[in-house]
Amino acid sequence: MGCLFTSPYSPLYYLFPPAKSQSLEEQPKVYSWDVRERVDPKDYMIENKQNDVFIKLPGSINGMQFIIQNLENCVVYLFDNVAQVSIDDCKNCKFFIGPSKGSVFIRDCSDCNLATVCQQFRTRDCKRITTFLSCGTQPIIESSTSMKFSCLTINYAQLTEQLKNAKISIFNNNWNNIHDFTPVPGELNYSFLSQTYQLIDYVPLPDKFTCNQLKLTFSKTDTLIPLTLGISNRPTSESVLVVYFPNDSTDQAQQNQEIQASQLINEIKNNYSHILLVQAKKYNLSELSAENVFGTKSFNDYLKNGPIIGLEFNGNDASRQCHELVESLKLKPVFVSCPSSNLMHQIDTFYNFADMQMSV
Amino acid sequence: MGLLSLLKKLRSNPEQELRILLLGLDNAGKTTLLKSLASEDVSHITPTQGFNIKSVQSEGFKLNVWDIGGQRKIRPYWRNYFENTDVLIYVIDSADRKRFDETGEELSELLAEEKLMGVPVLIFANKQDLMNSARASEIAEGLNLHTIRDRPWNIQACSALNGEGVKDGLNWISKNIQRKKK
Repeated sequence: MGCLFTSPYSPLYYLFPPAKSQSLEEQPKVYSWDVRERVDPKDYMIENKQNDVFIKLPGSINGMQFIIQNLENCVVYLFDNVAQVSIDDCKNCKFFIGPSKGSVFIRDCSDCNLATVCQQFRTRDCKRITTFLSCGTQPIIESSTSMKFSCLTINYAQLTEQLKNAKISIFNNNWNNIHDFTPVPGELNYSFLSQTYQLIDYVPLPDKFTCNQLKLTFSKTDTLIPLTLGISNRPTSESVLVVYFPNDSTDQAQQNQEIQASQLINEIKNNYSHILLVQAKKYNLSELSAENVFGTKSFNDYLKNGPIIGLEFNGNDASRQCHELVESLKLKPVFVSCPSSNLMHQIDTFYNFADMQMSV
Repeated sequence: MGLLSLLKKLRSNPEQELRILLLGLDNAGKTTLLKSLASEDVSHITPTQGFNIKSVQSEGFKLNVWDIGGQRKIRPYWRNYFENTDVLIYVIDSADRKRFDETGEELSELLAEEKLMGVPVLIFANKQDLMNSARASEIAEGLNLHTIRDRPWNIQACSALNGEGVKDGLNWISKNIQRKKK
């Protein structure tokens, strides 16, 4: 006990003087940031430039924070993982920002085009920013006007691995669900781009050599991140919900589940151009919520294995085509919704549980 | 830990509840800190639109932690949560040097609030894991923290993302909170 050693009345005090132990306690604690290798911040910053192009290749940032500030007429590509990115005081610029584990925060910028995949997307005091986005949570804007959003379409050789490092799933993209902290009555600070536009109309591809090296594409057909319409944009009244469950709790089962979901998306994209993906969601569903969505307990056994992946397709005959495809692909375990008057309610319920799961 | 603190711990009322207010600019990492306090997964956190609240057990206290969104537009609503606050935790993104002035101004305004008079303040210099982060000592100097004389205060470096330093902040709270009379 401490007092035996520290009390001057104790004989032990003289045998084990407290000075040593006290000085140990008083030594300031050493944290990882006290001992880490110092880097030159300039290597992770692009600032005060005009009319220039900057390319950061995979491996050059390695998940560090990145800072972009005070640029004019520049094009910046970060083809690597980042911890968080701030873009401040830029005008007439174009950006690609690779998978960000944290936020991409844009402040005091105007007339810029941006493509990014991130966990959080935030803007403040911005004007006329067009963003091609894949965002794991609800994007927010504050004191920003004439903001436009579209779904990010991209692929390059290292993207799958970088997404994994950033803990971002391609099946959770909320680009179409913006929260505006400063709405103006009678006006909309943001809108969505028509599907006729593509990323390449807003952000140019880099030089051919870099494109070849990275196997880079911005195309809607070859994108790794599924092209989604967004829930505000269903073209027909016919939707179908397809949900994949992990067969067991192994990484392999989750990988299979993702492959299956991608396979269905690609089959539909390649064979049925009139059927489009509205939205995808990947989240942990509770047993009670599952019963509410599916109207049966028969999927409950799979829920404990991990998150589910839900896909909503829309288009004439979407339901029949999806049933046939899933049947022919022999993909299991899977739920495919049946046409009924209750279907839209069922789909809404599925999204509502996803939103609840994602908030704190 | 000496016998005295051990006795203190045993004697402390397990029912003791503290109301903790978690404030700071948007993107400072308040919700990540909240989830880190509750030992929850911090890899999919959404920007807070209103507020989050969690109860966390720590050092014989039950902490009721209120995490209020930090966007400029909603900062005027912070005052609605001031009443009965036992400890103010103020979170700073130590790597966002552009907004050090802004965060300093918000903190001074909070410290001038009548309803928060004498309330101990713990400042977390968060995001120490990021390359551009300023050290806690640098931030303390920049914000003139040494001029705070009307309450206990402390600045603690931390990374809410990996949890480092968070516990040390809580220890300061448990040592510096005046135990409420029953």
